[in-house]
Amino acid sequence: MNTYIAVVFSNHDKAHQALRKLWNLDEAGELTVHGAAVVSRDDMGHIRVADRNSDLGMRTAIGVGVGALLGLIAGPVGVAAGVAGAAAVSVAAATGVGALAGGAIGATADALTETRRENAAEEAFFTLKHGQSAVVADISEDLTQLLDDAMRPFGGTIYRRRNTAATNAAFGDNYYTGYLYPYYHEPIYG
Amino acid sequence: MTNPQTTLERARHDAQELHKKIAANMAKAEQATWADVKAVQADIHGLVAKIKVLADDQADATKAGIMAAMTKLEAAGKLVEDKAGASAVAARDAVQHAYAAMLDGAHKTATSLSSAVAAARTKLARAIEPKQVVA
Repeated sequence: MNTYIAVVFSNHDKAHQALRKLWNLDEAGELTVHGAAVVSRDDMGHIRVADRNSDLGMRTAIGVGVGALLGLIAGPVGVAAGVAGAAAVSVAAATGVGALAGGAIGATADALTETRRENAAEEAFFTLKHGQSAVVADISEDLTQLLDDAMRPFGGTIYRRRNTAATNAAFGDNYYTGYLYPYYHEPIYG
Repeated sequence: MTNPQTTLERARHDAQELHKKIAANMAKAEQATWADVKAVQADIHGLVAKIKVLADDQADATKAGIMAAMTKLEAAGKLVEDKAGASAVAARDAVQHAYAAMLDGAHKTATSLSSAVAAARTKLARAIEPKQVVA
């Protein structure tokens, strides 16, 4: 089963440990990771992608790709709420300069009131609150329980969305075609 | 990083390493040269040859994905330096353009090989799963 996942954690350290664990599961052949990244929501309400690439064009591409993926996992309701109020998706590269991106997510989020954002956070779709981090990934898994069991010690909440042509088509022109690291890499925040 | 066990997984590992190398070279930005590009292109040629053999053993959909990625990677591996009157800035931009094309090709190659690895793992899991006993 091909699946997009977002696993939400209370802080960046746990997300980092979970990213490592995810790739360990791949190494053991228990699932296959096609790509993964760590994102977090900063105090400004921006979702930031931890990445080491310092090239502006690449950072923008990563931001757009991961932003679209977050929107896909969140579904139509989540996108309307801007994935828990994300004003934009930025890539935190080693240079510390974030490239504003995120397409539809950022555009819709700005139009929403804070009240609606707080309400959105209590609903069942994917949300990322201030200070939280998430591992987002494109994976193939035969048994969902393997990932569930692996993430439990870190206290992560797993959100899944099937990666099918129909799922991607339903998301429209902004469906995920972007960029996740195709191997384990140390998340870097600028 | 994936620990390679099968031929397919080794090829995927090679593609991941290639991606990592290109990304590291891109990060050098100002210091990147065509000599570095040519070194990466040599790696690409080796990887393409290896993967083309592997692709023949894959199911049609997986094979199509791998071949599409191969075509892109192969094209990026053939970009050549234009020495005619290029300024330092233009030369640097050309190097970065070549790296961007190679990185995209390496990314698509790594993910298409991941799909092939996933398909192989699923096939193996189904083959060894306990069969229900019918009374």
